[in-house]
Amino acid sequence: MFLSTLAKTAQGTENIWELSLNVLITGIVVVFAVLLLLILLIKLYSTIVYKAQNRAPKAPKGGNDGNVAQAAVIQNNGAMAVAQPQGLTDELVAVITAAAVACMGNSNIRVTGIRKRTTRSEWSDAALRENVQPFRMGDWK
Amino acid sequence: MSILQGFLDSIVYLFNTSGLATLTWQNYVMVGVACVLLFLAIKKQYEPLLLLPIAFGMLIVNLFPGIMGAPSTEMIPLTEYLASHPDVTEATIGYPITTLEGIQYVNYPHNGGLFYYLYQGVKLGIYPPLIFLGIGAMTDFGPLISNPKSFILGAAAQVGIFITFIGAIGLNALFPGMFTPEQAGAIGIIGGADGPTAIYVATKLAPELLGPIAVAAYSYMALVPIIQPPIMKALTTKKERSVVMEVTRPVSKLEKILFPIIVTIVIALILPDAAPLVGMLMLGNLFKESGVVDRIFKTAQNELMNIVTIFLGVTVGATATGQNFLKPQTLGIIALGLLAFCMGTACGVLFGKIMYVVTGGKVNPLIGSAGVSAVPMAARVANKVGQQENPANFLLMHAMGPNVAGVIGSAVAAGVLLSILG
Repeated sequence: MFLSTLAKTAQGTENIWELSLNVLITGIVVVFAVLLLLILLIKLYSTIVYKAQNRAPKAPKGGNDGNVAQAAVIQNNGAMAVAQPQGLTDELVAVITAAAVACMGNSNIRVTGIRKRTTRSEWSDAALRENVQPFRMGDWK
Repeated sequence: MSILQGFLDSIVYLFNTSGLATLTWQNYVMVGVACVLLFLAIKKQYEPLLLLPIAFGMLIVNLFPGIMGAPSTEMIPLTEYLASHPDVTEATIGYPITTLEGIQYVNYPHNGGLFYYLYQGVKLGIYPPLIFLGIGAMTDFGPLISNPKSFILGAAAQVGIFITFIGAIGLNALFPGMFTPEQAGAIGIIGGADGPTAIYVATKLAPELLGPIAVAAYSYMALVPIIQPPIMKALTTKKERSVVMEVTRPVSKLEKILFPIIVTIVIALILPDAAPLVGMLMLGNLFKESGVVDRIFKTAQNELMNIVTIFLGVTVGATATGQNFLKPQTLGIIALGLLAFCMGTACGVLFGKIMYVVTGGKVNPLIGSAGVSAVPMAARVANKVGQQENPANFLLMHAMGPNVAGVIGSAVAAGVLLSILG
């Protein structure tokens, strides 16, 4: 409604410079207004989703598909507790954190989760190794 | 002797209908331009996915203009038609018959050229939204959702579009009647650095300038690594370029699913003219993020995207015939397109500087340059320029926020132009 009124105003204008300024001002104002509105909406729903998802921390299900290992850092009255599943030692967490700090050059980071990237079984891994072995760069030298 | 005469007649006929006899010097110049673009696409790899089909479309249409020919109807006198088709009677002729001044004519149809039919997808505004579908399926909006302030930089970079619009109107003061307001709007959108959006707006506002606008848009997008860095360095200090930004928060799957739905609702409600572009972009992204339509998602980002890219490229290139392209207007479009890119980059960086000040030095102004779309090239350039000051500084993911915001921003700007000028 707002834009169509502006459009009619602009198209009815005989002075081309008036039309140009209409387009300039309308364009900049509308683009910023729409994108600012999107910022507000994204912040709003992100907050709602974050709160909804963190209201009641779910207990890890028994299966957890065997491939995902998580070390969740939970803040509780200022004290930090680290829940570690099998195979993820304190030393491993420390090494991964140190690597992340070194890579990013920023010591003010916190590792909240560690996830294994592969979803392949050992058999798939073996098959993949078998297939890509002839193409290793080292073999070409 | 009659065989020899028949042979000579055939040779003369072939020569008269060949390009050697029918083409003008403008066509030959455009063949040269097409060959240069093919060189840039193949050898220099400047946006080859689009520049190559565009250049080839340009090449073929200037050698055989009939490939873009519209369907036509030839009126043949009925008696003449029946004489040349002895097995046909007036009752079984199968074509409409028109009577003019007492003479009956058969309306004999001639089909259009191949590219004419493929071009309907451009003319009717079908291909650009389909390209956006594929782009949406390939885009991760996570960096934007985790840092929504990036939208401001995506909006700032669109200011170049409107400044260029004024510039195009201003050229009329020097060269009266050079560009109409609609043409100025179509030229300004080059500053959005978004090929499909530029084509979409050009087909709606100034279809006669589609060829030069598309070529300028894609050429400048390919030249982003050359155009942007000097502007970025000129507008920032070494200290600003060295800012290391904080790691963005992880984004949940639910947030990513909600994003395309909310953006579509907002944009379609406020700016219906932008709905085809933004809607398809968000649909493609929803295919990706929902995780429940894997087959469609893969088709949208691969097969469909590739097929539409071929059709779009060759047919847009085919609009650049010598007669259409070799005009003073084209020089104006090329100059204004460069101005649009530079202004968009400058405005993005300047708003980045404002955010640098407002946030107490937490935002690297270089990421503002990525607001001009050109995904992901502009984000890579921001990352590269940042690493020239500090090799351990990784700005890529931070720049991807304004970069994808720029895609939405340029579609919104297109919607505004179409609303006012369309």
